[in-house]
Amino acid sequence: MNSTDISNQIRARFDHETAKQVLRDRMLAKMHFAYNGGMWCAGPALLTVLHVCPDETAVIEDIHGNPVKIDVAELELAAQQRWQEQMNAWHAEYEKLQQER
Amino acid sequence: MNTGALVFAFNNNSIDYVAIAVECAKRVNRHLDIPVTLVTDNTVDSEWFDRVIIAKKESGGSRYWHASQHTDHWFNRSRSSAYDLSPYENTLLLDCDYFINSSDLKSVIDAQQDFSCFHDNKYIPVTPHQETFGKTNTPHVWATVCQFTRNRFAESVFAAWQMIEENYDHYSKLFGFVKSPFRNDYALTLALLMINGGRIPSSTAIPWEMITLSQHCEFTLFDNSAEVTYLTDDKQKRVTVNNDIHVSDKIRLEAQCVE
Repeated sequence: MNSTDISNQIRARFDHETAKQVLRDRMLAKMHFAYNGGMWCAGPALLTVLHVCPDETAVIEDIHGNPVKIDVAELELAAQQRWQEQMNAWHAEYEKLQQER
Repeated sequence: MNTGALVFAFNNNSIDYVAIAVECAKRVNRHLDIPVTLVTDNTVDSEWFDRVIIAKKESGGSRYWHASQHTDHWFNRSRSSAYDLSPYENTLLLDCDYFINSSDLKSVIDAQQDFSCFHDNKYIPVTPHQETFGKTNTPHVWATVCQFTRNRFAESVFAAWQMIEENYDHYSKLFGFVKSPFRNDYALTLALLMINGGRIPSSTAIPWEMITLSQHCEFTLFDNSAEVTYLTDDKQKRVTVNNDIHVSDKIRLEAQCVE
């Protein structure tokens, strides 16, 4: 990077709106995980479904519309952990963005 | 199930795609921890490739490169043979200009779907339009990143993709799109429509948006991110992108890969 590039970088204004959108996209990607041959998105919708499953095992639909047999407690734990981790990471990154100039 | 990435790279007179593929392979190794096979037309000696497959170099036509303001061949015609060439049971097919900055694609690899690819794309700078093609304004999927396992559905997708590639002139007239340069995105979209009765199967979607740096961005790549600057409304803006990114400006990309 030469001095012109550096001065151009300094002059450029931080694009908050794009940064916010890109951060959201990144966090949504990180909410996805594979379990038992299905693809899942950690979040309130999945956790609610798992919460109302009465038995230890259940067959529920993954995000691709496939029925997958799951261990309810196992998937709930994985989804809960991922959701909280990523929401915390999202929040931390978002706070950093707010301070960026 | 053995898993690996497959990257196609054919140099033209202006761009060293193999150098770009080496950087791509480094990132796949670093973030996804899977082996990479390179498909190219010459022997390549690089520790970053698990193996190198020699294939015929076929031009998809000429393409205009904005950064250097010139036209050159675009050798993009053999990706439809990925199903036959891949040494893996679970394959991540990548364009060499797709730069991995995260482990996000691990979930796609681990889910071992029959076939998946990006259905949605977001450009930086953000432009609010959906990319369509042809006289019917069909939204297209993206062939930049595809994951597939060995199964009848994926085999049919690639067979249809290959058939459309061989008869691209006919399909361009039928759907009313420009026949040159050849676009894998269009061929893949038509293949998915064809084998699924006229609808793109939603189960083939990678469930988030691909991010593409447009031709008009300047960028500096780092190990896990890219610093991007661009003009919008006559103002110079910048953003840091930690997501995986698809880079349109191959000339600027190559310059950073060979540094």
